[in-house]
Amino acid sequence: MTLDDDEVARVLASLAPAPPPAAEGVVAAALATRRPGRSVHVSRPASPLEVLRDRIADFAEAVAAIDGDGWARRAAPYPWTVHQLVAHLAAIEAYVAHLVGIPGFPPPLESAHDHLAMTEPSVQAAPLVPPEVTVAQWHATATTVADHVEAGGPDALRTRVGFHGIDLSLRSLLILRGFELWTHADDIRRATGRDVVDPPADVVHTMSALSVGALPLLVPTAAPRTARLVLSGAGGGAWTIGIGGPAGDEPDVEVLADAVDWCRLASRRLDPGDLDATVDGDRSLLADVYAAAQAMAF
Amino acid sequence: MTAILTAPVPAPGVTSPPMGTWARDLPDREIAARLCAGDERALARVVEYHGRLVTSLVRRLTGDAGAAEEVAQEVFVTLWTRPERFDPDLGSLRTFLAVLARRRAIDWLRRQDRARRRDEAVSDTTAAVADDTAEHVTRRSEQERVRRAVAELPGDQRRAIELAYFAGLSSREVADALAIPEGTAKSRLRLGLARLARSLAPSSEVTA
Repeated sequence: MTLDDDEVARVLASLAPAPPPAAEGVVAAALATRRPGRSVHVSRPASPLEVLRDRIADFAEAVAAIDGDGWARRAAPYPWTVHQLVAHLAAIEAYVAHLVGIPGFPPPLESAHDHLAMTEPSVQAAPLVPPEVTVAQWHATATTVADHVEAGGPDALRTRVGFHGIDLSLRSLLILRGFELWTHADDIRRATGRDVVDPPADVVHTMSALSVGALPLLVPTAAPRTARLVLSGAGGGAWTIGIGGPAGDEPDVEVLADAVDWCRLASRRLDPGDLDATVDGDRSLLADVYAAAQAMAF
Repeated sequence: MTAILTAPVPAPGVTSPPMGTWARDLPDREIAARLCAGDERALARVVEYHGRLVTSLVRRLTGDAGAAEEVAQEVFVTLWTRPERFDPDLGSLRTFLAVLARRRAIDWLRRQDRARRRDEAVSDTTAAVADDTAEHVTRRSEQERVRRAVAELPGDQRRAIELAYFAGLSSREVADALAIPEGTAKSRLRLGLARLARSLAPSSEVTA
């Protein structure tokens, strides 16, 4: 007697399926080989100083490509020209130089608590000098700040500064400077008809981590809540944060979004409604999370 | 103004729950993005959903329960450490895991074969005394017959049979894994089954 096809199939299928592996053990073994919470494309997050230097170089590249009437174009979302935007940044760099104690940089004359108002005199004076002079002034001050911080060693990053009246570590300030330089480099690229440029993965990861890390301090809550952010793409990562208390076992809201998009949302260059995100959970908490992320943008 | 940004940046993943469930199924594309981002909850989900597939495939290929656990862990560790190797545009995660499991199982068999040859070269040739029960021996014998029969199939048919019956893939998934039309996959499965039927027939036939 021979076996027909169905019987052979039954013989094959009759071999008892093996039990599944113990999931917790498998996950633990996997996590021992690659730490969770960081994109596979990030072997080491950029240090705050590396973020700053990388973004200084990027901004320098963005302005080096401007010619002709590019300087006079409007740098949206501001009412300023591209030249005036650079003057704004030059004034901010001078303010930061004062905060970190570099000689020759006096305190601002007024409006130190207002990021935009503080630089208005410099912005209005920009047309009096060639754009190249303003760029050189910005670059010289920015690199002086970076060199000064680097000379101070790792301990210097723990120094506290009052940036527009907000108490920050120097570590956080350097990353925020990186955020601003990236944002305005792309503002200038858009104004002059060029594509925006994403930072390297290690830089994006450090910026994302700062943005997510600040959320517990900024999201209003009447009771402890838990949010999880999974940021995809080259500079992404995964974070579970406790808001108003320690993080719980299960998040009340979880967001999956691209890391670069998240950073652009945090810089107010992407509206929450335009963020391509997959969301599970409490949408009202999500709205608070988005608002808090954008609250960091000056 | 309230001090902000004073909290230290949380270590990624430190406070994440070890296992989590979503109220919805996760598309393979989303799983791929999460794994690349370092989302360990997504990894746990993959192990829960596909663990049995992987261990069953490995056990059937190797005939060894211990190998199933060991190789299954290798498969999921590989997925976690090199998630970018899974491209959802090229096929399903299930197919990717089945193909990876098959390769790792074959590697395991080769390692065992090399070890056995080394042992045979330096030890006595006295056969080990098995303490298996009769039922266990019978089952292992049946499995061994089937495995030998499958191993003797032509390569194209063998690969299709292994993926369909040892890995539990549909004919569509077998076709994707082997990069062939679905009709060709079905044909290989049909021919493979027919050949197995002949080779697994009893050696003597009762004639009326």
